[in-house]
Amino acid sequence: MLNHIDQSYIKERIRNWKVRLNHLYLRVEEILSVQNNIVCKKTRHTILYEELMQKYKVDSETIPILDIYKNKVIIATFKPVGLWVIGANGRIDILTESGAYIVVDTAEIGQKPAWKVFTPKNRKSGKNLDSSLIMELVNQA
Amino acid sequence: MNIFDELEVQYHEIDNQYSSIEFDCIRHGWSRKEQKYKRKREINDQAYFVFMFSRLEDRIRDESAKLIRKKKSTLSSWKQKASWEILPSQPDAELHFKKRLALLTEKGGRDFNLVSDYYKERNSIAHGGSFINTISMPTVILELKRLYCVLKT
Repeated sequence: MLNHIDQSYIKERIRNWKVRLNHLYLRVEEILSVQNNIVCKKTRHTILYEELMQKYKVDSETIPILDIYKNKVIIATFKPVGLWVIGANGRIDILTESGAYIVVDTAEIGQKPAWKVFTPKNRKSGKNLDSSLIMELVNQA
Repeated sequence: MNIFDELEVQYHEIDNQYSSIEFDCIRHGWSRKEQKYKRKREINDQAYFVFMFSRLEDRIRDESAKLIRKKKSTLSSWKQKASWEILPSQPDAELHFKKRLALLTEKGGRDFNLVSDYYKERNSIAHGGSFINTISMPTVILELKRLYCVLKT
């Protein structure tokens, strides 16, 4: 990963963000594949166009949103919020009926992601985004 | 209960209510209302960020002033004392915030850089702008609580 900030560094960070999101979505789909009534869809997008992208004249990017359906009803949506986060390397909100799960990648830039989740019931300390949390997400809906 | 706890509870309560409505809009395909609640969450983040950061800001002003007063009154060597004598003893006296911060933590160190980043965001919001970078309020609140304890004389 490059350290000097220029257009190619920004593009590399965006590429890396998309790869990390893709891996996360695949992992979530894999965990939920055991449940017959659950369907994951990536038909919606959000736009990534942050301050640094504007400053270094990098075009906006479409970033996929992951929607989770249970018995054909949407129960959760993984919405990427931003890449350049103070104290983290990207933020995703998992929106649900009971509120937002705020997910941040706490790993150093260029390292394997370390996703931490602040749940609607406990925003005071982060938990690991693991299979039990994903199952909890769909089972409570 | 510390000075951040009450605000933290209130912030999360509001954010969860707004995000729940934002989700309900997605469920029903109400995109305009979804955008409206996404924006409400952003403004709520900005408001509580500035509100909570101002408490850390006060702490840094108070502790730096306390340190200046202590140095002025305890140092006996005029050479050492001279550099402190030119600094103001009151927390509300004119001395740039980052200079005060550098009296409490190493300039360029992790905590100095983190508070500087927050200060930049605070200034952007306070002058009518929005966040320069994305923030995660649960992370920010944890850091503000920690910084409040470690940044002292």
